[in-house]
Amino acid sequence: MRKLSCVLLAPLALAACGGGTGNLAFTTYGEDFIEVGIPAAPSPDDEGVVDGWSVRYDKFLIVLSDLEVDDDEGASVVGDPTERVFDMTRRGPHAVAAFSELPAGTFREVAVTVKKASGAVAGNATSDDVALMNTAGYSVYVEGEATKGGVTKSFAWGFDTQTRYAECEDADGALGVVIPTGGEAQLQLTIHGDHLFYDDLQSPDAVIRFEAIAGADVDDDGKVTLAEVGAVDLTALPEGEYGTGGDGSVQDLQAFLRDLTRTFVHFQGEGHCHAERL
Amino acid sequence: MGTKASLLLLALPLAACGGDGRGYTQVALEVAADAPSAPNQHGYIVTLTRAEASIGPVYFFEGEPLFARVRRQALGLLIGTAYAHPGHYQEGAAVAELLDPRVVDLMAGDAAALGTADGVTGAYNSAELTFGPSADLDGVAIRVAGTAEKDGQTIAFSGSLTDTITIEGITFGATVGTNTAKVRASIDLGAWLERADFGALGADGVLTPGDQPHNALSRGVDNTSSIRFELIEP
Repeated sequence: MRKLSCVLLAPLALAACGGGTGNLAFTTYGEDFIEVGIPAAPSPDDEGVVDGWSVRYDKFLIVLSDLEVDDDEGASVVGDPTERVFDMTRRGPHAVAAFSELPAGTFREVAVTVKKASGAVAGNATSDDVALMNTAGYSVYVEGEATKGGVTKSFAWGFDTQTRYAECEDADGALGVVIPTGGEAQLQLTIHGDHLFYDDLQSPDAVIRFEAIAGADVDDDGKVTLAEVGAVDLTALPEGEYGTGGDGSVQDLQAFLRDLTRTFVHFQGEGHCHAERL
Repeated sequence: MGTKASLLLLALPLAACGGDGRGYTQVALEVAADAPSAPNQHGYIVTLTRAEASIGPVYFFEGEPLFARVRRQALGLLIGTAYAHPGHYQEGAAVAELLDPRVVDLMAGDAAALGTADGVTGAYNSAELTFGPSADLDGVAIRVAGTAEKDGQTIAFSGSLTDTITIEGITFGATVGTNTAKVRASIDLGAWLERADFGALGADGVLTPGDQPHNALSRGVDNTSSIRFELIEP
């Protein structure tokens, strides 16, 4: 944790210092889609997997790092580079970090980075899981299975994508955080696990699918590997599915999944952050 | 047109009042195309003899597309920020729009006029363009024909896309003033066919729904990087 003294803060924060101090707590939460599962959608208009599959995560590890809160002049109010590994399948919300005696006021820049583990510590993950992430250098690791009828496909995929989520705003469009004098603000980094199975990298009409991933299991051993999804050229999938928006470099299903790992982190539930590739 | 047009119409009189610093303006739109200039991914040298498209509507937005910086507050409460994010994309309201589609011969050489968009002055940071089926194009949205050459063999091909394809979140960065600006949309025809494996075509050379070249064309057209908008007269 890094706390700056009032004298180092920009004018807005200085004014805030004069107004007192407050506390700030970051939490993270995987919601039912990660903690319980993603059901098959009863109809195309319902939430869930639209092609009849249901998906359950058994492990959803993510490295949350570089918690940032800045004032409008860019001066750091919170800057915490600690890499913490969370297993989002555990019932949450989970405490990430808490900061006390911060200048009270409105701080419009909140950011967090999902980065490759290198010296990460446990958030709520087991020591074995932390070791897995550090050894492999993963930022995200998921295990789970999908079922449809009598067919089950399992997956165990690690990713090393690094994404900084900045300029976070809540679902009402309010940027950042208000730290109240004498009180505590809470910021939830909400992880949307259903996004890993979206069928478009950009479209507002993206839906959740698994059929193409299941079909990648060419050796039919019930385990869909990253190598297998990497062998699926997007032009072999039905037109209208797995569109890549402006990223023409994404040409196979593995690259597609990698890109979707950059969309996991949300802010205060359904709020958004601006995702920057690192 | 729906919501996007309604919001723009709401914005125009308010902007004209000077409430948010934006005023009414017009934007002349034209379209040009770049022919394929290198072998595609499958090694085919593609020479187009025909490329036509029914283009429109075209919208411009204040928000920027995926993984681009987002400018905020330029339009106050009227215009939201854009998030090109699967399942969550919120385009905000349009800052300019050209509603009527027009069929364009993309092999004509010179840039073709699309029409004049109504809009407001200020930052234009992304665009949306639709290819839609048109009676003026035999009911299709896009039609292509040409040859693909590889290893001494030449394959004649033709094909069309019949479904409406709306390309959202096209990168564009410009500041439009009160004078009528001119914006050019340049279409990379090579990108349209970059992933087409012409060897997978049937003997008639027709791109058919379900075959790889048709799929590749559909994905190539839908790729936002195949279109580049630029302000050529501020």
